[in-house]
Formats: sequence, C-alpha cells, structure tokens
Amino acid sequence: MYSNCTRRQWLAAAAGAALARPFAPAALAASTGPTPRVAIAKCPTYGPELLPAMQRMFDQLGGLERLVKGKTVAIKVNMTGDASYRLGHTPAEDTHYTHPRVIAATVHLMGRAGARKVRLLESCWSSAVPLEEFMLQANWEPRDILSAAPRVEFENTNYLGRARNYVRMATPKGGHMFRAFDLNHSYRDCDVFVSLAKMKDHATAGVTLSMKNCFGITPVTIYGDGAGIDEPSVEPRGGRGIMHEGNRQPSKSAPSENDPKSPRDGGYRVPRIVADLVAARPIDLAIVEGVRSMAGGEGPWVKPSRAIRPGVLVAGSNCVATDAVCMAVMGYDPMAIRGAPPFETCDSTLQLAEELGVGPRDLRRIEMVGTPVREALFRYRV
Amino acid sequence: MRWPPEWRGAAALDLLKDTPLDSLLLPSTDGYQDVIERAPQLDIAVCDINRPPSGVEMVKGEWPGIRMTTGQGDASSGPTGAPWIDSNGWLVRLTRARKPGGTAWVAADPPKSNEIVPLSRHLVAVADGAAHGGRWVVTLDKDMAEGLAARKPGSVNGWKKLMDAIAFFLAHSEWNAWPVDAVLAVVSSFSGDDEFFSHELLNLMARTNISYGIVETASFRPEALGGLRAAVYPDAQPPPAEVRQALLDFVERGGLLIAGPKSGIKPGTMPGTAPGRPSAEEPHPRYEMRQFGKGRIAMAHQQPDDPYEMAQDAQILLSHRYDLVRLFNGSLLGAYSTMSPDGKRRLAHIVNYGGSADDGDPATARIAGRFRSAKLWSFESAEARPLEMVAQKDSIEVHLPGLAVYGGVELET
Repeated sequence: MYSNCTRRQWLAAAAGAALARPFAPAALAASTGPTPRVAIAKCPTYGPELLPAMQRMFDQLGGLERLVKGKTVAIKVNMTGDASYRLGHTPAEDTHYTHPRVIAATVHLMGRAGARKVRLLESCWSSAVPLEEFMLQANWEPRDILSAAPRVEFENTNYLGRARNYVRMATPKGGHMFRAFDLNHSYRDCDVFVSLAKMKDHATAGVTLSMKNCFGITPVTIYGDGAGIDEPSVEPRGGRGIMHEGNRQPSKSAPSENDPKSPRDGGYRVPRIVADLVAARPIDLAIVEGVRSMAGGEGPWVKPSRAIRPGVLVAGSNCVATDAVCMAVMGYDPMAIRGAPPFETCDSTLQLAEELGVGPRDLRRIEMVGTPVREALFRYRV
Repeated sequence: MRWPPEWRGAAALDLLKDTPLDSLLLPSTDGYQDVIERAPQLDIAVCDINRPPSGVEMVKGEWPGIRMTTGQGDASSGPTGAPWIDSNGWLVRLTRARKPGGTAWVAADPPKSNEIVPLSRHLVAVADGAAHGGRWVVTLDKDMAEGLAARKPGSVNGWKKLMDAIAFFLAHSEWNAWPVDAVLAVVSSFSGDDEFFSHELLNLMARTNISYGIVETASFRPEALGGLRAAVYPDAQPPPAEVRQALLDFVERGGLLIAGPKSGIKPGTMPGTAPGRPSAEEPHPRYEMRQFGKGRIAMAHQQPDDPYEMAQDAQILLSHRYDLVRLFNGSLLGAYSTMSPDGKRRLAHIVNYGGSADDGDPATARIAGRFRSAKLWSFESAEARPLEMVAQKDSIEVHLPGLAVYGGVELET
C-alpha cells in the first residue's frame, strides 16, 4: 500500500511542475543531480487519445526533439515469455506486453522529432527468430510499426544478432552483482536508449517497470539456462533461470558474478542484477505503459493474476524516478524496502539502483507533471 | 482393436457388442479358434496383426501425448518451456499420401505389464489417429483389460467413453476425404538414405504448426504445388528431372523453395535456366537467398543435417504471416487444418495431447481467412455448438472452451 507517502507529499512534489525543462542526460540524473521530471497522463484506451497523450507527456518533459534529433534511438519493448501465452483469451498486449499501438506511437513521435533511425529491441523468448516474426506470432502486424517513422529496424537481442561480437558494458562502482555485462551490439550502437515498459507486478522483483524491463537485454546465449559454458551458445534456448537462481555462472567469456557466494535467492539476485544493468546501460527515456495491464504478476504463468485497466502512461528521463512514480500510481510506496508491499520477498530494485547513483526514488525529490498521482491512482492490490 | 492377452476365450467378445469396433487383431491365428469362430457373428473381422486386411496399411507408431518438458520455469524463474508432443499424425498422413484411397491403421507397442495408461491417453491416441484420417489400433493396458474382463464399473465406464470417441469419428468419416489446407509442401522420396531425415522433418514441422502437404517424388504431379507458398526439398539426392523442373517453375511463378546443395536444384547450372540474382533481404545464417523469377530460392550453405533446425528455418523463411492456424495457450495442442472438397468449409482438428481440460488458461485459435460462421465439434456432444468469432483484419479468432481431448473447429466461408 502507498502508506508512507502522504497526499501532502504528493501535492508538494507536484507543485514544482509548472515549468517545462528539457531532458537531462541519464548520467546527469543521479541521486545528487538535478531533480528529475516525470510526466503522468491518463489514457483510458489505445484509441485516438493515445498519440496526443504521449505527445503531451514528452512536451512536458521538454520535448523529444532535443533528445532524439539526428540520433539513433534504441527502444527496448517488453514482450516477455512466449508469444502464444495469454491470460485467458486476452491478447498479450492487453495484459503483459507493451501494446503495439504504444510502440507505434512512440516510434512515430521519435520520427517526427527527427530521429535518424529507430531500432526496436527485444530478446525473443528462447529463440533467434526475427523480432518481426515474434510479433506476428503474437498476432501483431510489424508493418504498422515499421511504417510509423522512416528508418525503423527490429533486432532480436537474445543472441549475437547482426554483429560479430558482443559488446561489454561496465557497471559504475563495480555493481552489486556484476561489474560488467556482455550484450547484443544494439545496446551500445545507439545514441539514445529508451525503455518502453509495461506497468506490472512481478513475482520475483515486486514490480516490473522501466528498469526491470532491462532484465531482458541480457542474451540467454550467455546468461540463460542454455548458455554455453566457455563461449556463448549460438542459438538462444530457454529462459534466464541462472540469473534468478544463480545455479551456474554465465559463459566464461563474459564477466562472472562479483561474489559467487552471495545469496542464490531470486529476490536478492534479480533486483541487484536489474540495478546493475540500468547502471551499465543507462536509460535515457523511460516510458511505462499502463493503459491496460495485469495485476498479480508479470505474465499469465503467474497465478493468480488478473487483467486490469489502469488507463495511465508515465514517462521520464530518469528510470528510478519514473519507476518510483509508477509505484505510487500503482498504489505502492516507492520507498518500500524488503518486507513491505510489493517487496515482501525481495529487495527493492529502486533502492538498489539509487545506491548506484542511477536516480532518486523519493517522490519529494521528483518533479511530477501532468495528471496528479491521486487522479491517476490505480491500486494493483485490492 | 488388438486382442488383449488378459482376455481369455471368446466370451470376452461380448464386450465388443454394439461398439464401433469392426476388426480384431490377434497376435496369431493359432490358438484363438473360438474367437475366430465367434467374431463374425458379431460382425467383427479377425486377422493376424502382422497381416492386415487388403487395403489397410498398418504402420508402427507411438503412444501420442506429452513426453517431457524442455523447461523448468515457474512463477519465480519465468515462463515455462514448451512441452514435447508425440503424435502419429505425420505418419498417418504420409501413409495415406503414399497409398491414396487406402486406409491407415496405426499401432503402438502394448504398454508394459505394470504400466497403467490413463483413459485420457487412450482417447488422445484415438483422436490423434482419426483427426489425421487414420485409425488407432485400440491397445488396452493390463489394468483396463482385466477390469473390463471382470466388468468393473470404472473400466466399463472408461471403455464406453473410448468407444464413444471412436464412434464420433466414424460418424464423421467424410472428414477423411477432406484434403489438407496447406501453405507449404514437403517434397521428398521419403525413402532410402533420405527416409530418416524426411520423416523426422514431417514430424517436427507438425510441431511448428506449419500447415504442410506431403508430395512424394515417385508419384509427383506438378498440380500438387498449386496454390502453395513454399516447397521444401530436404533430400540429399537430386529429385527426378521433371520434379526439379517443376520446383523451379514453382519458384518462377512466385513460390519459395527451400533446399540443400545436394538437391542439385541450382538455377544457372541446369539447362535453360538463368542463375537468378542475390536477394536483397537480410542475410540468413544458414541459407543463401536468391531471387528467381517472381519467387525465391533458399539454398542451404551446407546440406541440412538437423531436421529440427530445418523445420524451424522453414517456418521463418516462409513467415508466420502465412500461419493458417495459430494457437494461443496451445502448447499442449496440435492443429491439423483441412478443407472440404468443395472449398466451402474449413475444419481445424485440434487435439489436446495433455488429455485434460484443466491445464492452464483456455486456448484461443486464430484462423486465417474470413468466415460466416464457426462451430465446434467435440466428443461431448453429437451436435456441434456455435462458436463466437472475433473478427480481425485477415483472420478470425475463436475462444475455445476447455478441450479435454479433441475439438473440431468447422468454419463456413
């Protein structure tokens, strides 16, 4: 429950939202940096109101043009699990996948703001299948996204993909669990990195928002159950059980855990790995989509869970701040630590990322613009 | 039905009275004289299991169902892996393709003496064979055979359900004449050195849910490729010249051909053919893509030696865009799409290899095309029940109720 942050605190935090300020680069948005701004918008459907709502949010954040004009933009979407999974008969985009219309709207606005190239990224479940094919399996039409802006590309980042080598990205301060990660080239071959996530609960990490979305940037050829022992495997197979349970190390070609004797508990490991990942691959723009979603877990395989319609979008240039606002919108306390909802059995990714200097989670240090939290509030737990 | 060793004497034949079973397979004709004499009185034909009646092709299959899982996921570690399904569907279809007009019976080894086969698995075996146009040779496990011989209520009740399932398919025997609604053909000799690979390819392509037709080179007719989007030639031996030419003609008209270098199908090296040109599409790690006429040739860099990989590659090279039936929450389901001879109706046979309606979220079927109505056939009802369709751009979705074993989704165009 959102008990530690009072209505007065929300109002105080939102009071400074009058003036627009341009995006601050992620590296400057650390906990000691300028107050990050997060925009909230009510958006009840994926219909005509979606694009204006997103445009308005980006304007409130200072305008997309300053961030993306002439740049290569990489957008990590959330398509967790196999494309054939549904919660009941409900299409995946209405529960656990970032909705394709939100993706297309984002791509369109990036193109309109002058992005040189937009590359959609996701690590398709247990497969080297092209991302377009994965979308078709989900019953999406990838051409709708390809045509939303000039020069749009897709890449499945669950393996080496189009590059000759993986790229190594180091975690500042050495990281909680990994000092560096070996990733698909797309996560370095971009000027702007966007996490376009779904607003959901998570069975292991409490919530999955813009930061947890980046758990999926790790290729399972190195960090998955089917990873090669010495070298990355060629084909991605299986999930990321070894990241959850730590029953083995990643392929030896990649940096191993800082402390292989650390707890093997998913509630300890996953939040730390996520915090390390967003420190190693900073998010320049966090967008969290909660127009329709699910509560109780991150996918239909988590029981019990239910489809919901929060009707909200959140965006910000700092991922920790954005996720903190999302938690408030979901009815949780962003300052919660292990033991308090939604972190009953895990550590807080927000807290751990904050410790790495990625950004603040205290709403008093976040400038909220657009729809007030109290009006956007949709309690995920009833 | 295979005569169970637990049944002693002709009196057990009474169990077959008023059932749809019409043939009894004996381990030999010696020592069963009383059975052989009594069976005709019940309109039951008797034969040696090694000598099926004329017109029947008996093939050795497996017990269909779920064999294993490839993932150990749970709520804490992420989504679960896909289960492995054993099916005889491809084998029944291949048998029928090679002997048009014949009848395919599929039999598996009897269960071990200490193995109890759940009723659901018997039902899945019946549905798997019949949905693909064949007949499963009912083979009882010891527990059920003894239970039936002793007229135990549980066994008798299970037996009735099994007979109802067989009767259901016999009542719809016209479906056997409905051809596959395919987008791709697998063209092969299906014999000799290419037997293992081509057979496995059929098996594994069925797992990917590609709607494929089976074309044997020995009886090849160019019309077999009509209306298809792709053809796969997996053999490491070149096909006969007329087949090779027909495949190239197919590509020229706009089709996709997937083959290996040992196929000998290489435009430019064949008389009267231009070499084609490199395709502008993104390079494929295992195939060289070339444009030829209006179509494309995907030529493997090396002769494929992994049927699983070739099945997966074929699906992506063709593209999921052309999926005829796409199942959601269908990891335990298999679909086989057919069309009525007049082209006015489509029927997607859906078998739940898990054998239970209670496993997980209900399934949804997305079926390509536009239809006026949809209805569902199942064992549970003599009449089909209407299904609500959710219209999409070029397809419809139907929400399937929990299917215990079998559902036939019939669509009217």
